[in-house]
Amino acid sequence: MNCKCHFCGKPAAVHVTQVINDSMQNVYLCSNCAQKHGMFDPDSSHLSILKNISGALVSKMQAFSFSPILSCSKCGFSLADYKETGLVGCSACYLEMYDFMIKTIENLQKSTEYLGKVPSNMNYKSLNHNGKADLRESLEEALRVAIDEERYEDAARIRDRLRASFG
Amino acid sequence: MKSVKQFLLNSGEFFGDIGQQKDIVLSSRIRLARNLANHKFPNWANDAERDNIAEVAKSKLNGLKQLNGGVFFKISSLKDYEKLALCEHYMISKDLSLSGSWVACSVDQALSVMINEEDHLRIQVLRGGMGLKALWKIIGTIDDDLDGGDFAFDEKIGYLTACPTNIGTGMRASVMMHLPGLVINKQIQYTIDALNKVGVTVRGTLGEGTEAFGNIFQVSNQHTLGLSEQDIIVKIEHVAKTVMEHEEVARDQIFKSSKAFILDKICRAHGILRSCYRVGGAESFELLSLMRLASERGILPISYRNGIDRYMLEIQKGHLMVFSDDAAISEVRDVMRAKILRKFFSDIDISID
Repeated sequence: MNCKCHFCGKPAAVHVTQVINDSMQNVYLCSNCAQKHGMFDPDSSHLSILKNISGALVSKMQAFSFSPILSCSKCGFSLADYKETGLVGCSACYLEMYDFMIKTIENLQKSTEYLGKVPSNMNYKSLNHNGKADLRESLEEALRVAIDEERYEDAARIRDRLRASFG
Repeated sequence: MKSVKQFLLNSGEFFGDIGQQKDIVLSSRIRLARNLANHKFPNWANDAERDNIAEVAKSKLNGLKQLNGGVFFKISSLKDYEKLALCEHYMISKDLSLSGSWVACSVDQALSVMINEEDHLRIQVLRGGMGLKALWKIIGTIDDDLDGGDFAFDEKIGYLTACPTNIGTGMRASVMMHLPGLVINKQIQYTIDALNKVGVTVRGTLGEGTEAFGNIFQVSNQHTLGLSEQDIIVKIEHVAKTVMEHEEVARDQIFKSSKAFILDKICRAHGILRSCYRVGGAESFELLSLMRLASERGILPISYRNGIDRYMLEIQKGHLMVFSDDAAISEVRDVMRAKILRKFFSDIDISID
């Protein structure tokens, strides 16, 4: 690891990635600073370390953060397009840009809970959830695959959807 | 059936009354937005993709028994005035006429399905009078019949639509209401504001962004998610009944406290309709609205009300142009409109105590 510790500038031994609201932040720490901030404390979660970091460092970290996911991988439609037209590009956009879309729907609709008719044709589950009969199972598998492939932005999005749907 | 003209000549069952109240509610309508999974929405699809979507949609509709004997119109093949006439006849929307692909209409004009409007499919059923519950049974069956398991649907947020304002049920239930009492009493804006606060939208005669000609307003649900289809129907029917009660109170007040004012307006309107040589579209709507009101107060025979409703459609620009080549010129159209109305009202007398 060639990066330097964000706190003291010594060669980093620990790399922490945290994803919040589709934004990925990377922090590098030397072993001393990592210990100082609770990284090796068995009671401390790795993900909580960022809470201990000073405001000055947060802004430094933001320079490293990635842009949020802005487009649908199925059709190429972007949030910028949505903001221009008020329409989405395809049905997959709702899943691909789930956080943004669900907030938009919350503002426009009575609630985000579907209470309408159950389609007469029961093939929907397989069509819409990659062959999985259960949405939760489908999302959990997608989360596992995203983590395995180190696609942390996707993982965060899927995690948020799981939380929104199943608590 | 080949042409828009032939289609419109068959006035069908649009004026058929499946509801109880036709005094104030002219017609009821339900439309469902449906999309094919794994296809881009029309606004984002290119021409080839839209053609492909249209072919899939048409093959579904070809097998739909409720459209048996119906007609398909390719929007790009229609003349502008034919598209306008179909808009005026509530068969298509303005959006479809501008950029849509096809519309399929049943012969009785009670069902139309628009292809590549804002969504891949916009299914609509329409009837005279108040009757949303009956329409839901009809359109629910049509929806099931068209459902090949390939609609864009999500268990959590329902039917997926191009605009998030339609997501969920994809359903818009609306009633067309004639509200001259609330307009004359200047209570209409108050009513619209109150309805907006409870999730009900009030629009003009031809839907979104249109004016309320002839004191006719379209009342529909604002939300499509968070309510079931039955909830939406119950809500709109309840709202419509409440608005009807207010309208009836307003009419009673006007005929009681401003009797000379309203009777003078009606008599003058009747006089113009019987004697005018030319009349514009907007003015004729206002005059016909007063005649409709008069028929419901026993001033004109009630038997003429269906005729009044029919002429509210047929004297519009698109209809006149479909039925006469000369009607392309505005001045000629105004003369033609006056002639039709003069003839209709020539043997209808006003009865005032």
